[in-house]
Amino acid sequence: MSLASAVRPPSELGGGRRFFAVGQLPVLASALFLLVLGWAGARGWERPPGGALRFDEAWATAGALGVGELVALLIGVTLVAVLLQPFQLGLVRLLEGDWPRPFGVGLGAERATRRQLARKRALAAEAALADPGALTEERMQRAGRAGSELRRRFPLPDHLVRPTALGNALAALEDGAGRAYGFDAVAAWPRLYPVLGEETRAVVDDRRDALDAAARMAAVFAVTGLAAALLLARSGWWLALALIPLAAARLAYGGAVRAAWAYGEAVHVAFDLHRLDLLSALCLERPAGPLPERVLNAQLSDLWRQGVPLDPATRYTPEHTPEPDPDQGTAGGTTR
Amino acid sequence: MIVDTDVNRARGLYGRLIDTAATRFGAALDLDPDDRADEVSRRLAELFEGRPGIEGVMLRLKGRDVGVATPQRVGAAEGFAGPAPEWGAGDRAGLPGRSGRYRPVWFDCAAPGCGAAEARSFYDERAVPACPDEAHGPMELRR
Repeated sequence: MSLASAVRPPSELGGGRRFFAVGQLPVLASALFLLVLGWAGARGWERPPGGALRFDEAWATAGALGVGELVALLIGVTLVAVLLQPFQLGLVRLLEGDWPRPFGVGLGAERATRRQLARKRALAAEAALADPGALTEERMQRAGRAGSELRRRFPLPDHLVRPTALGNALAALEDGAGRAYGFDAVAAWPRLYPVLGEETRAVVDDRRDALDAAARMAAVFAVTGLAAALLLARSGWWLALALIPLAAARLAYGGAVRAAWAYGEAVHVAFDLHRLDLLSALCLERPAGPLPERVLNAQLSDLWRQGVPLDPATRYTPEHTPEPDPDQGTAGGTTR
Repeated sequence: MIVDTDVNRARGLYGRLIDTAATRFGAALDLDPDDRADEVSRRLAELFEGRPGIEGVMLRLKGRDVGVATPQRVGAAEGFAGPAPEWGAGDRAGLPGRSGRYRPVWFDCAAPGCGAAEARSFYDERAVPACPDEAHGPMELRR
């Protein structure tokens, strides 16, 4: 068996595409990078034999791995991926800038937030219509695009602005999605998600998986870069190899930010298309128009977010008595 | 009335039994919206066992086609009917962040002329604030 044939998503274990992309792939890539460095002679506690890394020996070692060793590698990778899975949310929040207080101060959280605010204000200035009476078509389109960009990348209230671009992309989504209909997106989404249509859910899932995969890669590759730096500490100029996973981490973080913008758009669309399906699933009467809809959805959001009970005047839809259906006719008859 | 939501929900619920590429079927099985997935799987298995020649069974919800279940899919599902489980897929059902829409939950004393008010960060019927005047009892939620 070769390394290449071992790199297959073990979906028969119930992992699935998401678990492979988000969980296993980053850990597998990291493990292989560090193993190759180790096989090439990188040892943090001593200089490599001959003073240089030997990648030909590393490839030879990799190619000679037995079935048992490959199985052990895959099990180890899967185990790490499973252990990291519950931390995915915390990991994304870390990348959003939700840093523990002592570390937050040390990492310049305030300075980073001020930088993000400056970018937000620059976009807001471009989106402003200073003199509507003298507006040209070109100026209007530029301002419109800047306004869309502002709403996509930043939450509207300044106090919600976070230290990182990823944090602000997700804050923009959580601040804006469903708002036009009175919903608090964070409170409503766990209830809306199960009633999404197939096509909407496919788009939402795809973009969420891309976001989570990129975020996981950014974190895992950053840790890999640090581990590689430790392994290569006594290897002279080879230490520069530690920049590879760090560069990959930076690239993955940029990908996570763009994936968050795309995910935000998908969540907005999900609210647009399926918000009334949510009311049907809750057996609530469909509101007559936008204003009563906003009132009802604000009440639901209060209930889900802070436990405030619904207005006692709220009405459930009457129970439907099914009518007998005519036999549609099939190739072999209908059974029940 | 059956709406697309019910059909879509059924497609998700019985996803592992349905072969989206299959178009031919020799029988149909009518479902109710609240039929359990494992029960549907069992009934399909019995149907295929009793009629070994049929290629598939159309699942229907009040006259609306849901999808064609095949013997291969029913056999592979082994008693499960939902879509193939994915580790970590549940993360998709929540947004990563926290709400920025918290508001004070106000309570007012119901006693005429009292005017006492208190705010809480959440509502729980077991923790309704009481008026400072003990005689007035618990306050009422302000809507």
